[in-house]
Amino acid sequence: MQDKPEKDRISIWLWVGIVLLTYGCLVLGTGLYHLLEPPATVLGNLRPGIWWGGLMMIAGLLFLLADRRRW
Amino acid sequence: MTTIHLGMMDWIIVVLYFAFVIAIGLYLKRFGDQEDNFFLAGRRNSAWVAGIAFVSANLGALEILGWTGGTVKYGMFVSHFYWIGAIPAMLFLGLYMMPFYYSSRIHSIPGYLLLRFDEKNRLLNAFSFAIMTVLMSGINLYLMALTFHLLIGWDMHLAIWVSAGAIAVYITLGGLLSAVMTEIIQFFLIWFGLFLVSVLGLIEMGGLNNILADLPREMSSLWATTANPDWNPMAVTWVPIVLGLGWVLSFGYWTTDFLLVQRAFTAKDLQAARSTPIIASFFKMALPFIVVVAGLVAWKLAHTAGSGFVIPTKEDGGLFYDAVLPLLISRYYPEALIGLGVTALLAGFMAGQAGNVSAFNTVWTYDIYRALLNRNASPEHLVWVGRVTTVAGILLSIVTAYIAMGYHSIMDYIQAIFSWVNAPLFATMLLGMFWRRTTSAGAFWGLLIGMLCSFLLFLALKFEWIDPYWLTFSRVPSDMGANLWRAFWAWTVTFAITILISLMTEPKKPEELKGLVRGLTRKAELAQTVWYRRPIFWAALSLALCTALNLYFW
Repeated sequence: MQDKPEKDRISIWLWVGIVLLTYGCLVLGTGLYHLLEPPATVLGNLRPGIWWGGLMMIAGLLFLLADRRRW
Repeated sequence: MTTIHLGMMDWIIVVLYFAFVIAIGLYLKRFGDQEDNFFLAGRRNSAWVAGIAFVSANLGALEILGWTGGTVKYGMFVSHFYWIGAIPAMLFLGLYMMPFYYSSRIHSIPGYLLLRFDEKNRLLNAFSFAIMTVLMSGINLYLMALTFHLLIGWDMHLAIWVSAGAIAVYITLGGLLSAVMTEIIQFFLIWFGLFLVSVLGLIEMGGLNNILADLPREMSSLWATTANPDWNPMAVTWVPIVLGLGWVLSFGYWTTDFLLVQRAFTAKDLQAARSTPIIASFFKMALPFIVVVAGLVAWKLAHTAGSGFVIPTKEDGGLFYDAVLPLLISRYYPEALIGLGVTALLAGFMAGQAGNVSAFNTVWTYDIYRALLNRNASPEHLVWVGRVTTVAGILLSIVTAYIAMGYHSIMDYIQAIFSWVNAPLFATMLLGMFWRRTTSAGAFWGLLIGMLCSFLLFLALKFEWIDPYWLTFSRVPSDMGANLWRAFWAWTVTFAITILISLMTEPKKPEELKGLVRGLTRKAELAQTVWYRRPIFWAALSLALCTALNLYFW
């Protein structure tokens, strides 16, 4: 929750990392599935699910790594 | 009219959001038992945490949907609400007002009025804020349910009870600590959930310049068409934009609305508290990259033959502009991303509601319950009262939502309450902080008469008791112009009456005002801080960036 180290409370950045990583996995996974069954959305050929989901996963991992000293 | 259809993965993402926020509430329960954590989120947050929570508390989904649709009507003009209508006030709060708020160790804005003036000023503001917050919260709840019903086909009753229930659980357990934590998550969900719409829209349209080239001049400029109300789609001149929006409404909202300022109170020290709104100003300035860009993409699509993009009509025959962003989500997002976009909107609604509830329970507990009913309450008892107030506030919001569902016209009144309360309060706070001669009687009568004046002007315009020309100095009818001018007049009346009565009554002694008024407060000790960490440096940068954006889109 706060930057000042406090052993007994999980940092907010860890929560943010978990949320982004979880959602990134789901979006990326669905995007990969759409390679088999392409969705009928405009610009669907750009595979937004894959690269946006990947970006969210990277962001989530960065938050988790940045907070690793408190694990 | 349903514009978005959710697949299985979308539902998993939405349900996961509820699971996350309730898990956070359950986890924070053990910390929420402490008074400082429940009402002040521990008062140990960094400027970044407090700053993101500050901008998130303002970032409601209704605003995002409304202003994306507003861009289709007004074009670049909407940016005024994000730039001149926000940035100067946020910087002023951080640089000049926060030292008085933070240093006096108060829990709420009414708490400052008690220290600076007296009990009756505190109670006047506490009651008006509590009533305004509950009513606004109820209206937001109703509009949230209506929006999700129209756009996604959700049952309205279910949407009201499920979202209100989830908020009740995590705020009752963790108080402001939970609210701040979920606001940070909401901030990232909104950016990751909605920014992609703008990115894909710009790719399809071939870039922003392509859209701007086709946009009519009155929609593509910020200031060039404001000399005459006939020249721009909002039908206003630069005078109400600067005085009404940029001065009174903006400063009234950003510097005195406890819902926002409460986030800065959670900062770990004065420098972090001062930096809170300044950091938030950069994020606020960036929001048009979601809202305005998506609106411009929608405008271009709606004017492109064969695009397949049609803005639906409402029952009254008018265009349903709020559907624009969900239509774009539906156009560009495949399954899973749709769930992310819907979750971003849902998170926006819920975080805004949670902000209302956490501010309400603090003001009720400290400024009404403890002040009037139980002055010697223990910290444990206050936390218990805060929890009961949270549940009561949510139930009152639900009742208000159902009243609004039955009587639509009542919404006009409730939505106008904001300008009845905040515009006059800004005059009171400004004089209270910067003019030591301001007296308690002057502040009280100025605030009361200012609020009544704003209310009467609202009725006078609504029922056509007066010619709008005498309020707006314009023959071009414009609701927006009338709102901006009404706020300005309410502020002016409060300002003038407060000065007049203060000059006729006895002020407090200087020793009673130490730390509360400019000139009687120790300057913030920032000399030890390196220049690039000082709030003034970042405020100057923010102001320069805001000015550059205004000049670029002049």
